[in-house]
Amino acid sequence: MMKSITMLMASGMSTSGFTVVPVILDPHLDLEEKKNLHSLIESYEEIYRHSVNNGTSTLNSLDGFFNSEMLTIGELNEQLNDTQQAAGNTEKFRSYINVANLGADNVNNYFVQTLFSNKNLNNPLSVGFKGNPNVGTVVLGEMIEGADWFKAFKTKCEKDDRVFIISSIFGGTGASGYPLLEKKIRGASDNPTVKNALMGAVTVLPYYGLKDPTTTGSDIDSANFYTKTKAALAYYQNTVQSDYLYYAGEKTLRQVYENDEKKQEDTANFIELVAASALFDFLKRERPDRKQYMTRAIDDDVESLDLVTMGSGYKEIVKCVADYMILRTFIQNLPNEKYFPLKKNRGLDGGFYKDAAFQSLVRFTEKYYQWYYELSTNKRAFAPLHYDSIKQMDGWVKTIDLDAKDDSYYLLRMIEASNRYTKKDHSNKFRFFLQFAYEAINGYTQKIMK
Amino acid sequence: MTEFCAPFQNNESLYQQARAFWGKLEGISTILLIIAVVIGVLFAVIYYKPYNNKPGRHYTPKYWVIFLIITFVVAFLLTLGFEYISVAPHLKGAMLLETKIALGNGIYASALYFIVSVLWCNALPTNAYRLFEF
Repeated sequence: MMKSITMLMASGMSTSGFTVVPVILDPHLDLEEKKNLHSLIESYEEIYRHSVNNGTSTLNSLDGFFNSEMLTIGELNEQLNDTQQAAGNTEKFRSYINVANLGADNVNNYFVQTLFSNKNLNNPLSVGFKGNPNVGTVVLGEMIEGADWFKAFKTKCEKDDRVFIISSIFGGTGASGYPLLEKKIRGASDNPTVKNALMGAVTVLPYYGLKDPTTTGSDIDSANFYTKTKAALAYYQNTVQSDYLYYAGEKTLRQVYENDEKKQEDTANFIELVAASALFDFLKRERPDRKQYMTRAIDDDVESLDLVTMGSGYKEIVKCVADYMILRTFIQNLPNEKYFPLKKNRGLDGGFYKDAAFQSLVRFTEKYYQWYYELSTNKRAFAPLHYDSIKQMDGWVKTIDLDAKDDSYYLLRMIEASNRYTKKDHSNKFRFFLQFAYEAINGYTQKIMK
Repeated sequence: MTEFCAPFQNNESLYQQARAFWGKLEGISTILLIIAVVIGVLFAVIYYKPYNNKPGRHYTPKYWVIFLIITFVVAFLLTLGFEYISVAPHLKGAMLLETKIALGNGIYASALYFIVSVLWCNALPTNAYRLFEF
């Protein structure tokens, strides 16, 4: 979900002026997906910094692409790292709760045997809670309370800052972590700003399954997802303390992934995109009089979603994704455009395209494309775009005819935007590129919002 | 004039016609110059403004060269047509003379198109690539 949030922010989704400070709580230290997410966030931050850099001073955030700041809690607190190491260690759960010190006939030992299986007890904490919220609830509380990031969060949280918690309800870490985290925040009596912060959360109901664990030796069995969800929902009903609680999920487990808990190579899914959109909705809202429970639907229950089958509520998401996919064509083609007028007018020459800022954007865009490709081929598919040819772009957004017939329409608008901009407030070429590209693209894709 | 009239010196009537022909050509020379100026400037304006306000990567030098050729051809044809209507080339060698003048006017128009392009690239707003910006 954090990946989808990052991608939507890159596409121009507004955070209503808020800086997003992601805190990723996952004790599974070696998880490739987690490392990739950290790398993606770093790329976003780097591109954002390039877009506001004005030598010794900082410019306002741009409109459109990369319009919102993202900072890790480590950077905010001027630490070298954030939650990466502090959230997990290689200690076994058995050792963590000190089972060895309990006598064989001790009633607490029987209690432990009732609550936790031998597998639970022998799992190292560094691999996560493997779909066992009963383990997560024991460990995470202390992990949160004792963590540097939580202390930093309490120190840095200011008036009008908001907290948004993202979790799944059918796993281990998220399902157990959400209510615990909420409790820690609402219980911060020594810090009224933290305690009273406007809080939202999105919890994701089951939307994918995993292959039979008996064939892979995995500890996670997706057959239990719904049971766990029902139990967790029953618990949440009386305990959640968020001002807004968003639910996102599927009615059935549409996609089945490999049951490899070490890799967890799950491709981007529409439900994650929906859940990500909850953050942007939350940031627009005022403090409610009472708790609000939110969800969103699609118009038609089809395998491959486009603008019409999703419904009008998704226009902004479709526009953002379309905008970025059009930007991708600029990023791919403009370095080869020998006589593009902005080469002379704004210095977008060969040196610019080889520069660190543009190269960061190239790398980010490759990840973006992969993300959209996964979304558009997953079950269910989020596929509102055709993005085949730059020679025929009027049908790039399915069900709508855009007025730009090919990429030259956008390039012309980009040149016009550059000519209109007569201010001499900076000479940041990268910012010029993003600014004029967005103006050009937005001029045509505004039609999606009508 | 001498070069054009010389072949007719043995025939007084033709010689007078040749002198008259030359005199009429001289009479329309200002108009011919105006044609070169108007065509040269007009096509430069069209290239740098309305044509480059339309999509299709018109900013590339390829289209600038196409407009240069068009400028030359239009100036040539207009000049030739105007000459033909104003001063009919009945004498031997008159048509060749008018064609040479039309070609020259085409070159003048093209040169003006280039000069206006240089000025435009350095001083005026356009969506075209500023090929001649110094």
